Amino acid sequence: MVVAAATAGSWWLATSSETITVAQRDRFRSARAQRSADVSADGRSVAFESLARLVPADTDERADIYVLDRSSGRVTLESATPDDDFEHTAPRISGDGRYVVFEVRAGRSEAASPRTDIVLHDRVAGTSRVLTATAKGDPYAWSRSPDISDDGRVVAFSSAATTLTAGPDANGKLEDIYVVRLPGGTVSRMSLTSDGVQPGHGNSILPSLSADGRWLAFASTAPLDETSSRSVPSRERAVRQVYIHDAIGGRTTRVTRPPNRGLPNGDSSLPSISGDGRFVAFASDASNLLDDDGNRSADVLLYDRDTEALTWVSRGADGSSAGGESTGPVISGDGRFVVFQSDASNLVCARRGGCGSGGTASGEPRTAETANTEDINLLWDVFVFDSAARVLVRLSEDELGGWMEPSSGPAIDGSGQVIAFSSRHPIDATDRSGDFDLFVRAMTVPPIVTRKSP
Amino acid sequence: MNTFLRSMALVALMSVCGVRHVSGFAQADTPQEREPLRSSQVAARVYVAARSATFDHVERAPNLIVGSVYQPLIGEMLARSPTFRRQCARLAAATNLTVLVRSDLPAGTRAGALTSIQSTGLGKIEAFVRVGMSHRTAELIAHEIEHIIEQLDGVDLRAKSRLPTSGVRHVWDLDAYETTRAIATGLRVARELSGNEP
Repeated sequence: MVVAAATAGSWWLATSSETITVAQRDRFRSARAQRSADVSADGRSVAFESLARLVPADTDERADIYVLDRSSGRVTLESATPDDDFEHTAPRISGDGRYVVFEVRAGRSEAASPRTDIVLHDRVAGTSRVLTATAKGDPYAWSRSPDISDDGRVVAFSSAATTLTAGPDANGKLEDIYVVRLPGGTVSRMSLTSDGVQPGHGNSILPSLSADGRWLAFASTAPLDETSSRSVPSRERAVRQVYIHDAIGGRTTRVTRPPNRGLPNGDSSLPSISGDGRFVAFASDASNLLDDDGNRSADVLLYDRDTEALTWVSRGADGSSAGGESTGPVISGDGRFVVFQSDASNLVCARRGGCGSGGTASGEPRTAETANTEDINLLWDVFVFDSAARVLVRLSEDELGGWMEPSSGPAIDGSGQVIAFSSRHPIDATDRSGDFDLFVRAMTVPPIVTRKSP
Repeated sequence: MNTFLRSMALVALMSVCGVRHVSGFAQADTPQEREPLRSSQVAARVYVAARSATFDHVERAPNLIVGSVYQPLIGEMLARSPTFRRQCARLAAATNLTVLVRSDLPAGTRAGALTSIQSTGLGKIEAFVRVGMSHRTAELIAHEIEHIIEQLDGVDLRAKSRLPTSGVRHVWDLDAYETTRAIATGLRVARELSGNEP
């Protein structure tokens, strides 16, 4: 039998790391807002939105899409026109950084229009393409939350539009998940049951694609499996659940299954699927997905499609429930790491001797050293969970201690070596405005040591 | 001689041009990179923790109004405590906030200091910090200012106090909240002021 083990203790902190910062100047950002950055699978490129004018061609006050090339340190403007009247948000980037997909929303002069389109930009060819163009004239043409496969040939998003595909839209102006296959541009609705049926009610949102675009995770209040359709009267507000859809087999599988095989007692959302589609990280308000979840707050969980096991990611350092909310998970392409944000104070332990019984009970610092590294800010911090080593590490800190400002919206590359997030922590001595800026941290990930058991 | 100088200049020019064409990092791969107006080599910078945390040249926040009895102490805290300078920078950025620090803590109050925060309408916020006479005055002022910053950051003390390990607890007899964050910050400022910060 082969078991996996990893370097024990605070291995992550001991590894060398370098952090790059870029101004986002986002003083309006809520820590709960959707993440504003994405890292390519190869870790070289970071796509992000910014209100700062980072290049001469950016002359407007709108959010624009930029890409940081980590190998050259160069930042480039990728939004179509710098001085147009549109907001460009929610970028996602393909595995090699060639393609960027993002939301484009009409700005102030068209404030009455709720239209939001999904645009694919080819950074090599310098061309952009509106993927939701067929919804032109559709009064519900509101599309959002795009994701892109590693090869850039599949783009998924949610949309309230009713005219993206031929035929009737059974749930009308409620959102569905759509996939566009490129270069042809064929649009398909994916929020379907395993029989290919679109339920007449329920919203489907926040898609996440596997590397090859075959597997699609998303959140939905639609009854997409047998248990959900049997148990939820259509007139009641349904619980939001996480599903995986296999684009080849057509099967839709519910991820959020309590041990008793019933329905969860709270919403689950924000799924992020690994490159091979095996693992899905998600956030959940439900307290009956795990046997010992007692905090009545959102937690981050990790689902293994092969074993159907759920791992509790946002767990207190002493094994107890997190003392706060955890959300916004993103999984690395290899499925080993999960980054997320949490306002809990007990996920990491800075005390000498670890977090044994009573270790964090009082919540008050005992020494000057622990006060510097303990999580005391009561705000959102960014964490990374190594599922191989079962280690949880806070990233929104540096060698001087934990940051006192909120950090949120993490993203991670394919192998867990590059993590991007936004933070109100000052990027330098002149940064006194208290707005969110981008931090990109490059880590040296220790290998998993495998050994044969006796 | 002139020919020689021209030759040397040409060699120098060629070598400079040559250096410019050596591909060190990846060269321009995309149209955006090739167009100088759409790219920047200075927007991204290496983060230096010490530089970020310095908070040099921070003056007392204009919206921090301190009674005359505390002004020398505040000046000393600004001069010696980076943590207090961070607090002042944060207060100064909150242009809708006014903080008044007074020495009129009501007699018989169990706490060393108390802060009340109220909204005055039109988005304005006023915070009243009442500090008792004590050898811990610097610690108490920094402690209370951190409570104000917690509210600027939107911390929901009531909700967090219901969780057992959140770092917030409800002090029932004062009907007030205490936080690990404010305690630690006050202690840190006191240490920095006394020169005992490790």
